[in-house]
Amino acid sequence: MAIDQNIISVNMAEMRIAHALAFFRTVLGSCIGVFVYDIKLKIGGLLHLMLPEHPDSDNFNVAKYADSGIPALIEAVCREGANRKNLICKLSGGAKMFSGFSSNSIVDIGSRNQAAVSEKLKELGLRVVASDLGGETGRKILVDLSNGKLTVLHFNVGEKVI
Amino acid sequence: MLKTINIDGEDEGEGLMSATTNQNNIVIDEKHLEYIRVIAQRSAENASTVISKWLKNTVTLRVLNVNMTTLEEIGVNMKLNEDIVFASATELIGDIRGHFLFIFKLEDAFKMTDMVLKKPIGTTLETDELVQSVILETCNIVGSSFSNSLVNMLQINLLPSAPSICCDIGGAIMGNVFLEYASYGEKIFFIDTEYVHEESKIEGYFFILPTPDSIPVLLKRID
Repeated sequence: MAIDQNIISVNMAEMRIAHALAFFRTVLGSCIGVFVYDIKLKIGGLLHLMLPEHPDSDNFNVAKYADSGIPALIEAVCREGANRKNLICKLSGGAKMFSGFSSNSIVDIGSRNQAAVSEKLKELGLRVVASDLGGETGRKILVDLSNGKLTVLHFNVGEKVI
Repeated sequence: MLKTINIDGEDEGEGLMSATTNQNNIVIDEKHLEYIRVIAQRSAENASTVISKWLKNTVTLRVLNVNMTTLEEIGVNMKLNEDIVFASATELIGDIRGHFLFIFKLEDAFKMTDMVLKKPIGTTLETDELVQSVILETCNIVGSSFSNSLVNMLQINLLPSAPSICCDIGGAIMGNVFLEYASYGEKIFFIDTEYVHEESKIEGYFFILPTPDSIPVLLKRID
């Protein structure tokens, strides 16, 4: 998909910040990848969140949840030098995976994540310029920090750039 | 890797060794984790014998780890994360509840299909119904023989359901499966075993995922 150098893997419940010429890479099922990017300064962050709401506890992984992770992502990318006013956002993931496996409690966590992400981004006034969400298949994504392009690869469907 | 957690269990003699479960944490000490590993390895050896007979080729199932770990740690070391895989899952019903989960790289699923159909390796190249059947049947055979061992050793009731199947990116599937188990608490308990077919270089993984309240059953004394 791209040059194999300076590719930063973002695992489940992680958040990473970087500048051009780095790339972010991750695999998404029902999780959502939230990418925020300062298009002028070419600084960006990718959050690989897994669940909609953080638990009622003092000690939890902020990056795991939409409601805590998204504000933390924006704060981190701005601390790195990005300008809040220049930030755009792209989203990917939130699929309904492996329906034969799911029990009732977690069924369609992808949709729940989508709703939580949408609500939080609206609350924070962040502009979503592109998204590739939902469906029933997993995604591999690669984000190019030199231009903010997000390439999505669905198994059996092919590649698209958003 | 075996994790040592704060000891919070008592040896009850003939009956169950204790493992405490609560909303947020499973607590099992290293001695008990090792005990579970022994039980799992015996079951894996039995399953190896049965599946080898079916395939008419030597397959080895070997316990790699008895894990008590977070989603984040699982994500860092996830096997077949970016590979296209076939995954087959079986729900466990009875004294132990949870799932068995099988993962094979796509190419290895094709090889297994060729073996079962007695065709030259390299013949199968598409994810059709035959490949699905072979993977489902493998999951069925390994799951059933593994369960039968647990039933005989632990004197319990246990019935695996008919398996379901999915073909997709490994990390996406496994992320979802482990996420389901993360709903029980911060730490996820699972056993991972390796499925190896030396001659054809097939590698798969067989995960045993009991629900937290099923773990004490695995600690039942055996002779």
